[in-house]
Amino acid sequence: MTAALIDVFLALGVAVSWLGAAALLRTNSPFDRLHAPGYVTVVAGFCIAVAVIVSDPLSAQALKAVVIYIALVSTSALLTHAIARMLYIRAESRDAR
Amino acid sequence: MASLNPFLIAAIALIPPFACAVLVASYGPVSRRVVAVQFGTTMTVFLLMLLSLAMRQPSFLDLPLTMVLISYPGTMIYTHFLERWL
Repeated sequence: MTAALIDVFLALGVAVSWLGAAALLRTNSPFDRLHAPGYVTVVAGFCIAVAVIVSDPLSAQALKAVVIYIALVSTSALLTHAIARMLYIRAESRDAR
Repeated sequence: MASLNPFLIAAIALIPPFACAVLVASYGPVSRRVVAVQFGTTMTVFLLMLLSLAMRQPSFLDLPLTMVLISYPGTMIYTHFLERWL
């Protein structure tokens, strides 16, 4: 049961990463493209962290996986905002010229 | 050499999305590259996590944690630079 759960969560994480990569390649607008890393970080990161926790609960590696996930999600939100702001300012300055 | 386990298979399966990020980051306008770099960083963190679990070396998990903490100021400075001067 545990092995099956690990497989399912890892497969979900990989599938979400592939979907994000397809979005990165297929979308045209930079603002649309910005959704790909955010989506992959939150969803695939959650799946991989859960797979690690299920494989070895109450261990140092489970704790580290949770810390990595929290750090990744919180920094990703800030970076996505910073990149979107940069894209907006660059687009505005291009229009002003 | 690590035996084939689900974590190693998942790590191998994450190589094509990482390659996509490298491909997109290698050409085109800056707006396209920056997003691909962020995507690539996320993929690298996942790859390092899965590889450390595949090799059964929990101490290697410090590496993706360090990567997350270092990539934050790096990307922030890069976007600030692009916003102001490039």
